Amino acid sequence: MRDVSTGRLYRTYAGYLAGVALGSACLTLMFLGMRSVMDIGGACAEGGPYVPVQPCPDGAALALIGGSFGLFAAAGLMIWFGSRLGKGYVTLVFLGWPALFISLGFNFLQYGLNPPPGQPVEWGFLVPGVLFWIIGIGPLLFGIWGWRAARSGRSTSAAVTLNRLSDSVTRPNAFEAGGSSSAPRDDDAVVEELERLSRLHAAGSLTDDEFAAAKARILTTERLA
Amino acid sequence: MTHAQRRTLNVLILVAVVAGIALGAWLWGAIA
Repeated sequence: MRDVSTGRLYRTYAGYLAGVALGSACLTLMFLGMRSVMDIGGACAEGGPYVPVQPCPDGAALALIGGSFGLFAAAGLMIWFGSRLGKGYVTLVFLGWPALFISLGFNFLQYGLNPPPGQPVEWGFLVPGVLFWIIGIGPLLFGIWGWRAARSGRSTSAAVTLNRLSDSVTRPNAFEAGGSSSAPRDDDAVVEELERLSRLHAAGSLTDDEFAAAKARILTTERLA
Repeated sequence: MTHAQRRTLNVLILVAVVAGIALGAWLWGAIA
């Protein structure tokens, strides 16, 4: 029989992975929706006396608007459940930013460099393409730099910034002043305690039974808090 | 989380990314 802590861990996994899958699904929808609009020249509108009629491709509005709202939902899931898994998993949510701007920038660049036959390079697409890549790649490089520095224990400005960013979203209930039914749980402390136990268990200092008992006690205490 | 659980989760994250892309492409095919 599965114990309660395992069930809780699996629910956390499921919630976090759902956030990851939803995020990449929304990015894909926005990527494909954008391409469908670019296939007809990059803009579409209908209605109004002075608006040139260029009907939008089927599904483009839904994909672009639904996709962008879905990204927020995905980030919420990843932050909510990732906070229970550890700060590293919350930090992954920031990869959504470069993923969004690099993929959409790719569309701009591809369509800008491959204009219809007989037409010059489309600067109206190239300029936003380059801007999107700068907006996407800049923070990505900064993040990788900070992550590498943090891993090797160096406290560079990039590492400190990344750490602060992660901290700012890792505690989603930090702004609730008694709004919830119970006192805000310190999930970080619980995760740290469990990680410490796991290390002791892996090192052989704790037997399987002792580890299971200690883990159950920590999780029970947390539920009662 | 144990080291093995962490490794499993990391693999599952990659699977979720690929599954999400497939889901997005399928949804696009359904609405476009």
